[in-house]
Amino acid sequence: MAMTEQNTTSKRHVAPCKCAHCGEPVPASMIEAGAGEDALLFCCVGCEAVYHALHEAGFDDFYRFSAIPVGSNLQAKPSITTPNTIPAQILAKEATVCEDGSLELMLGVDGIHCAGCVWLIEQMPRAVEGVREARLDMGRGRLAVRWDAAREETPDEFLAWLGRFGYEARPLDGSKIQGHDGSDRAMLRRVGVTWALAGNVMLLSAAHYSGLDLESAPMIATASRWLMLILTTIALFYGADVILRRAWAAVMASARAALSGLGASPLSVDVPLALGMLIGWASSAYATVTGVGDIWLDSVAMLIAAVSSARWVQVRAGRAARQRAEQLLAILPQVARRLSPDGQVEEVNLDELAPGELVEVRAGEVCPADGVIEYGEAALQRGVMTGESRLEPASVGDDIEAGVLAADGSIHVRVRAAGDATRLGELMAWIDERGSKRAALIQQADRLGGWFVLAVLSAAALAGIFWGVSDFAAGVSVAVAILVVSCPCALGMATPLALALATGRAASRGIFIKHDDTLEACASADVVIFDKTGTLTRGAPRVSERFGDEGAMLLASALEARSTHPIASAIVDAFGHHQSARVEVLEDRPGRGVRGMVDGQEVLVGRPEWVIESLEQSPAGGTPREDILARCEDYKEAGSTVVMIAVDGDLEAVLGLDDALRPEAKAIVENIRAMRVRPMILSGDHAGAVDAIRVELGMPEEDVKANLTPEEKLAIVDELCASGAHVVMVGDGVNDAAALQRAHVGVAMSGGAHLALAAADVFLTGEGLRGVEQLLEGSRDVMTSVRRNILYALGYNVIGVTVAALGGVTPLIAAIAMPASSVVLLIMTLMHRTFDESAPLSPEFSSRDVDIEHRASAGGGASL
Amino acid sequence: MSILFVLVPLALILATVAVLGFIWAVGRGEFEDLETPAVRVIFEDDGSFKQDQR
Repeated sequence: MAMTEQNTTSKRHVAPCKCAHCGEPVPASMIEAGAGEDALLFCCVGCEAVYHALHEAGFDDFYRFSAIPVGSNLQAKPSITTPNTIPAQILAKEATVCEDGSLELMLGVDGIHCAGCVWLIEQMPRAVEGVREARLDMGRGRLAVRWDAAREETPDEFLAWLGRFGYEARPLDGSKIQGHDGSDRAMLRRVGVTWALAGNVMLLSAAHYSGLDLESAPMIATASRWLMLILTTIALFYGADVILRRAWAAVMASARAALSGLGASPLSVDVPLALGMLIGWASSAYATVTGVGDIWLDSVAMLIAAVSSARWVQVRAGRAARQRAEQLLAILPQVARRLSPDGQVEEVNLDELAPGELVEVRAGEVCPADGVIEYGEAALQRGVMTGESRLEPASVGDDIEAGVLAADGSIHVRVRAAGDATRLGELMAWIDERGSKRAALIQQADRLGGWFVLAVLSAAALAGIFWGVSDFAAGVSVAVAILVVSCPCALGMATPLALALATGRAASRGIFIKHDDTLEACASADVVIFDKTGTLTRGAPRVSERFGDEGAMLLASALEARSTHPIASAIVDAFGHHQSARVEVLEDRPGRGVRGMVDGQEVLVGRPEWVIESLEQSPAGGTPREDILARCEDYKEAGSTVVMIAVDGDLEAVLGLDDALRPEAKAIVENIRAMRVRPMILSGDHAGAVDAIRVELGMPEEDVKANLTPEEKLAIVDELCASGAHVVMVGDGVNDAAALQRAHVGVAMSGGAHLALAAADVFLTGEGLRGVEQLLEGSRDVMTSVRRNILYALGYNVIGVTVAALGGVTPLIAAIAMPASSVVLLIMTLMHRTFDESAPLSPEFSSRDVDIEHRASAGGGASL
Repeated sequence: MSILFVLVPLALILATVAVLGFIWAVGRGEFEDLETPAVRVIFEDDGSFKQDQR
């Protein structure tokens, strides 16, 4: 098939590899897995399954639809991390019963990449018996599954089904989902209702502006005034009650502060907003009742609608990022299986667990507490802590932490710490404890609002007195005009709107920002601290040093091609694939090495200790070569991982492996420096490895520190923050979590530990460091937009207040000027395309677009 | 002009119906997920992908 060939050929020329299905970069783990089978590479198992399904069914045209950008999700992880059962308690608590008696459960799903994933997952009712409906929300990674309550095994079956395609799914804790109480929906209802009311008020007032008045048509004019009053009153007390209440709270707080002698605390932006609304409404109500004076109801209604929309946009923008982080933390089981001394098993709630007790963790379950394995063995997956998806074998006597998954095998764990005392619990408590860190920035925005209130109030009072001396009614009218026209609609919306839009755009680029004030903090960054492993480097080894017989290295590569270990793939990468060789693996010892026959020769590849030991035991009894042993020591000293190769009982070669620097790292560090931000490296690795990176990046010695414990990292971050620098910390592991939290902005890398993601303010879902640079650039860009908006809003107000003070603002002018000022602001903000797709992109991204075209024309055939 | 006494309330009633419809839709969660439905249109009802008809 022509398409297959196209993909095969284009794959070899384009690096990094693109998924043949969705065009996303292929993660290293999938390259390993897919290398041997055929030439097509995929970013996730789902894509692979869908690709083959589509191909077999003759639906290759799909590739013209797959240009639909998704990428709002985390990288796919191997399916082994999916717990394979949903405990009955969780089902009882979280599942809702539908009208027809079926059960519905909300699951968080990781690994959704493209439209094909939606299609595949929604095929569930055909594939799993008992499932009636599956609906995926791909933006938030949420899956609602409805199934027949009578079939009890269905939940386990659909979890397994999802796991088979590489989707990591787990039930969500309903109480932890934002908006579960309906607050999001209430907000949206408010937006809709206030706009409907404002629209009708506007229409009615248009009649007044075009000549309807109390003299020419008293009946109609009075009726329409009353109608407008009724509609606006609903808008005010239903649509704006949150603003009114918050403004009242702010006034009370600052009054209390003033009374207790603490000095005036700043008033929030809500105060002038509420004041403008209330005064405009009250004076119009008075005018309506008495039939004398101007009415401003249309301005008031528009203001309410605009402000509630701005609030809604703001809340919605950071939602996706926050929810994904929360979902990642829904890892701990809520029940544990406790073993009593007489061997009885009972299921208890997590908080009933105490140190010293014994719990059972079955295959596919997450360990509920910190402890020591007392019985059994299992392959553990510590991804929550380390971001490492590989399995490590563990047996009696090994430590296990809460949150670690036992992928296979059942174990008994003696609890050392439970609940909040576990390492996971402590870190999660740490993460919850934010707040004080944010207060400063929020106050700054509010202080501007406070000054604004004072200025407007004094302007209104002065102008009112000035005019009121000769004509009391004119004085009141001018004061009201100032208060209404100066409503800080633009001022109140300027910052949140720009930030919310930028947050949304950043998310579509794979940069997830949890709070919109994070952008403000990023823009003023002075220092960017990088972790080394997994951040500046790929976190995967690469052969950097070699010594000895080249032929032996090729034999080793042929043998290692049968293994999926990262070191094995590094060796295969370095020396290539030799599919012609006849290979037979005799022994594969995880953590030690591999022994096998390649073209009739016995080859040993592995850790030096193991290779030497094996040679000593072997009947051939080869002599260790001194030069190779000397090199081995050199490599070790330089901080490399050392691998030895022996052929037919003789030591032939030695390799040194290092964690490779990401290809873009040097350019990114230079660009960051060009932005007058100081890059630094804080690493827990040994000095040799870190220094090599430092030299490669050309960084001064004082900016690079190695051999650090998490506490030392934290101390350095603290010290920098205390010295007044604005610190951005980029990391991926759990040892960075505390520092990520403490820095002004914590950025977590893709594929990192879940906890690091939770601790960070920003997380990147694209491969590589490009996102860090984009974040810094974008945040600076958005702050210029914010500053311009504020300047514009202040300019509008100065002009508005001046004209109003001169007596030039009539209700008609206010009704035009106020919405116009907001619309201009909106257009200005929308035109400023921060994190824009059309901005100069990294070659990876632009080549992806070309690739999609390419595939479409290759796969679509004649119709294009 | 007195027709306005009928027309304006009528307009308001129509607007109320629209608003009630909106409230109902919000309550059903129609605005929760604005991304996936856009993708779902390319799937056929029988579960396969829609082939281009051009």
